[in-house]
Amino acid sequence: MKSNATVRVAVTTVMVAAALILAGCSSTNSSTTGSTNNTLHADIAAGKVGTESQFGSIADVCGSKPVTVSVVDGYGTNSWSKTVKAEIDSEAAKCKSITSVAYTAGAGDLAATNAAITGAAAKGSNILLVIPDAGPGQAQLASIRKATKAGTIVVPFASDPTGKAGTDYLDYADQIPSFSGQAWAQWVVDTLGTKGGNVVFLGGPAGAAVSAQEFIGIQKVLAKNPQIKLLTPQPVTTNWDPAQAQQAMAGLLSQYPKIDAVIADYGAVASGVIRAYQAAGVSVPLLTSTDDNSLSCGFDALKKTNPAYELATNSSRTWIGRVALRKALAAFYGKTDTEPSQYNLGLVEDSTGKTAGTKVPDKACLSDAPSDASPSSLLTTAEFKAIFG
Amino acid sequence: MTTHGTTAPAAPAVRTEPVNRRRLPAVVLSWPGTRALIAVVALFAVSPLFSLGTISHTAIVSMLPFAALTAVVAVGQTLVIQQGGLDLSVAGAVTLGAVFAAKLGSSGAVDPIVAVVIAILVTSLFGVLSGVVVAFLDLPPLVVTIASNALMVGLVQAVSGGFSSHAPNQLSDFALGRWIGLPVLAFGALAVVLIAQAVLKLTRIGRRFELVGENRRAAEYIGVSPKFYTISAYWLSALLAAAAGVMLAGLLRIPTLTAGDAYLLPSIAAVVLGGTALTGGRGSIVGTALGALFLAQLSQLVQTFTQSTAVQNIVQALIIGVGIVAQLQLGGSTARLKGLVSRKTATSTPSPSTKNTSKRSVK
Repeated sequence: MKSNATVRVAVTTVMVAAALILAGCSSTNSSTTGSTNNTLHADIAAGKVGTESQFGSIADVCGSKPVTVSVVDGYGTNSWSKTVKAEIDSEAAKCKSITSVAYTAGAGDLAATNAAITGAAAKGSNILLVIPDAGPGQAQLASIRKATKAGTIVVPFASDPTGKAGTDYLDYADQIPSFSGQAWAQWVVDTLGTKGGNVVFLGGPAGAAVSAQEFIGIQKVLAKNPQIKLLTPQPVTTNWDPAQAQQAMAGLLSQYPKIDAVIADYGAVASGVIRAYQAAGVSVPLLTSTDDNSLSCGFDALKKTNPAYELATNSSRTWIGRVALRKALAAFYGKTDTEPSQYNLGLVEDSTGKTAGTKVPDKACLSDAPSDASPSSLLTTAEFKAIFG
Repeated sequence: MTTHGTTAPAAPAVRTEPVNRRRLPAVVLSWPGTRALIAVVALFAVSPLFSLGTISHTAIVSMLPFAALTAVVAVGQTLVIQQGGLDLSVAGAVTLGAVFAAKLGSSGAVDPIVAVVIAILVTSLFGVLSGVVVAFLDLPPLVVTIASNALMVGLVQAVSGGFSSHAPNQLSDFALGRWIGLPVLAFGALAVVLIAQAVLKLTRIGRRFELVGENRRAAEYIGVSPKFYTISAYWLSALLAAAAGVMLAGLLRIPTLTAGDAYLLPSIAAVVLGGTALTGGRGSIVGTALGALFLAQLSQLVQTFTQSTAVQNIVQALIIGVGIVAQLQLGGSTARLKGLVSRKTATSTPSPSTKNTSKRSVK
């Protein structure tokens, strides 16, 4: 009797377990393939490297079936994020089938960002564009995977999500940070000349992947140019916040009496750097960063009182969300998109005028647009005015 | 300088028997402000050992504005802590003050000076709200101020539209201004500290304020209504935090929407380092200001010997921890201090707290 009962219990357990496994499998399958079969693979030239001259057009990838888009930004509280969002809205407006673009800012909170990612998928968004920069990329990868499994087309952009395109998400659109680092460092090397000098590098949040990769590019160039000394053994933490950048720069100024060039990986951080110099009453040196209207338009005035000041910037790639959206749309409608998803961003602005193909700050300045605008943005002046007032 | 400054003079107390048998150095040393001053002097003394640059003019001039802001916020925090409370809404108040001043001031709709006044007064209303709820509903200050912080953070979002705006040029130029070679913000903070200290120690209302914080029942017995003082503590805390926010907006030019967060914990640490007990009662505004100066210089110093944020935070936390423990352990106990200095197991007096030994005057 007892043994029969044991057998019955064992058989029941096995059956229940098998049923659960089958149910699990089938639900996983159905959700992986979902309504669309293209969350991981599509004809979109995933991972292709190129330049801004190879941009595609949204008209080629837009279809007729209604589609919903969600955007999650791990930070989302600065002007750069505001511009990125506006660029996505502007691009989405050109494809009438996009019925909604929902936006969530994580404000640097990892838990909030992950909740927003899974929330967007749970809501049934067809497309999810994510800037996974609320912390290290892999800290957001699990929820990105989950969203992909739930049938949402996920395209992380502007910050390395780690993981692999085609396995964890559809594609990853961004600049190649080490290339930017090299471009900035090379300009510093060229401008300081054989005399050389001391350089500091200000990055974003501690451990931010973008800053770390840019730093590698900088180190690579400076290794070949020993006359330039990199004073900071790792990117200085600023959280991409001008206030914190100002405080960090104040610390650097007190630590190092001689700084000949500052590399900052975000234009607003560069503004904080200038502010720290002004507060300390020290002359602003060479400065290289990403483009920012206040830097460009304010250059001439600042140069008058700071003779050593020179400025070089590359694009702050606020348009990268447009690329991410086009890739995702192409996958959703089963169309082809051949534009690059990884961009090499050379300098676009150089006050010394020595770099070919660049503008001087006065020419780069968008005089009608507000000071927060990015001169390399694809937004019109009217669109800028609408977002910055 | 501190409470004892207004009590029975220390020197005669040594000669005449009854009230206070402590020697003058011991009495001076038992003032919380003195200990904070010793910590500050010691920190500045060791700074050049790590990096000469940390005491250069550039370094001091860069550090002072941030110390000044922390000091202004911490003075408000001291007042609330004296009333046995804790104001966790200063972060929101700093940010709201900053965002209001920047947004209104640069909108062109009102004069920047009017914008600054509106920013400070509107933000201070949240302090009144916290005070009224704490005083009349008797709810825990922690919960109440977290709630009013949330209200202010919400208003920050509403006012700013989610993104920071530029402070008006007048404000931004003012914040970078210098007077006799030092940042004007430092003088602003100095004025706030001196006025607060003077009002607290030399006026009737100030003495009553301390009495209410130390012993509400005694205050009620002599006809002093504690509610008024509790509400005014929260009001002043929000007002000062908003004023610090306005200065911050000028200093940063583009105040971010979380700019105030960096001032919450330092404001509490400065109060404790300055020798005000978290249990309420007497406090030292000058001690608090010195605590703020200590924290700003410490942060600058730690930054110079390591770029690693992790190490910076750990070292800073350890030093602040040691400072707070030292301040709390030695807090007002002359016997312990003497014991430390002379290594004698001197008195048989069971290390009475100064509360018992000092005379308080409520005019």
